[in-house]
Amino acid sequence: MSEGELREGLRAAVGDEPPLRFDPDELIRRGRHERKRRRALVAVGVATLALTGTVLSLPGLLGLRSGDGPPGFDAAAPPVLTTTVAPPVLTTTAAPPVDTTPEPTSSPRGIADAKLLGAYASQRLLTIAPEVKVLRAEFTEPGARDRSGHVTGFVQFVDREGVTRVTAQLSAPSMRVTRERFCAGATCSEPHRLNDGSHLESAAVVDPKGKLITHSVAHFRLDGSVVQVSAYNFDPVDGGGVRRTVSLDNDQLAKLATDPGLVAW
Amino acid sequence: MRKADEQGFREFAVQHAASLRRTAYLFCGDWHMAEDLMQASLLKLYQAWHRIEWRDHASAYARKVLLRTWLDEKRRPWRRAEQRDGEVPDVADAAADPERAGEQLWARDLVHAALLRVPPRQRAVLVLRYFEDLPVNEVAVLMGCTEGTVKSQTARGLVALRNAVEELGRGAVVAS
Repeated sequence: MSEGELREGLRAAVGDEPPLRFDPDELIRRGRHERKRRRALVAVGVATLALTGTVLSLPGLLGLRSGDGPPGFDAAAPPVLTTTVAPPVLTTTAAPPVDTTPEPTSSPRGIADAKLLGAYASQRLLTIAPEVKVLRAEFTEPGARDRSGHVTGFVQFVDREGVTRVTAQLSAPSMRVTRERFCAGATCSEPHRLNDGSHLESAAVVDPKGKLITHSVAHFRLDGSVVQVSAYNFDPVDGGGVRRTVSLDNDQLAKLATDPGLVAW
Repeated sequence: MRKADEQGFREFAVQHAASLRRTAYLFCGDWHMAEDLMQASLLKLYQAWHRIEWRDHASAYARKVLLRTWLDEKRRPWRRAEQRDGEVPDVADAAADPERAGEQLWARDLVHAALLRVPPRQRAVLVLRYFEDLPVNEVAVLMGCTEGTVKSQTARGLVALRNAVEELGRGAVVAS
């Protein structure tokens, strides 16, 4: 068969084309509906993230002190903080309470645009997990335009197991997010002190049925701000199936949380 | 979407709906599915219409969306068809086999019936090159691969198509 015959054959194949039933108005109506549905989904996602942040902060707002911490947290026992340089042994009697007034807010230096913040987070995610493909990123407006003290957002991506998200919550120093509040209601591992004196906390939350797992890492920075990032074994906004593993491990989450560029204030 | 943009999209959709459906038909071999693919592609295009960077090449972009929509649809588990890697048996009586009933419709159109036996990506290359008359470089952009890949897929697709035509021809002789 020559190429000419192939061309003729293809033309002939569509020769008995049935009449086209195409209504552009109906198509545009469906397009508008789809667009509204997507916006609603994003709004629900952001609201869910904000609610998660509020729930995590609530024990502290209700006056939780170091002595009445979560189960398994013994305030009387001196916690030993591991460190790579000089492992100091901190005692709760000598050290000031963790939820003391944080250092004053530094001057505005963060990324002051939600799109830029999303792009930056996406780029950092690709650096620490090059095998994933970023689908989109959305953040609430950071910096001076934000009055809630929180910037929340997510990077949606796809990896070998499917679509999921990594969520981030950047809390201003004024929110006074403490390590105790972060660990309330979650299973926290040993805190880790970094060379600059800031702290990392890792927590795992498992739903009562034991299927949905959330891994969170929070970086408690010296200026009092907190960057918390979470990965899941499911898509926290769209739902869908449960993955075999959580999409990012703690090391990857720690790299994101400690990223010096991930700042909103 | 602004009124002017929406009007632009409406004009584009009306102008290209028929040609997109024809291309979709050559991809999938079913007019109903072709219409669904065309509608789904235009719907996706509507969502992206505000992005102006590809407006000058809207029809090429539309074909790209159509191709991906079809390939995605092919990957869905309930769409997976039997892989015909082995030797295709002779068709003794097409009317007796309901699964072959579709082929009966194509018997009058040997080329298209044979085209449906070519693997999807090779089929897409053949349709884009010989029905849409697109040059190799445009097909490469559209399919997201290199020009070399397009050429090799074209060559393999033509071989597969010729084999399928021969087999169908033999089958028709046996059936008659």
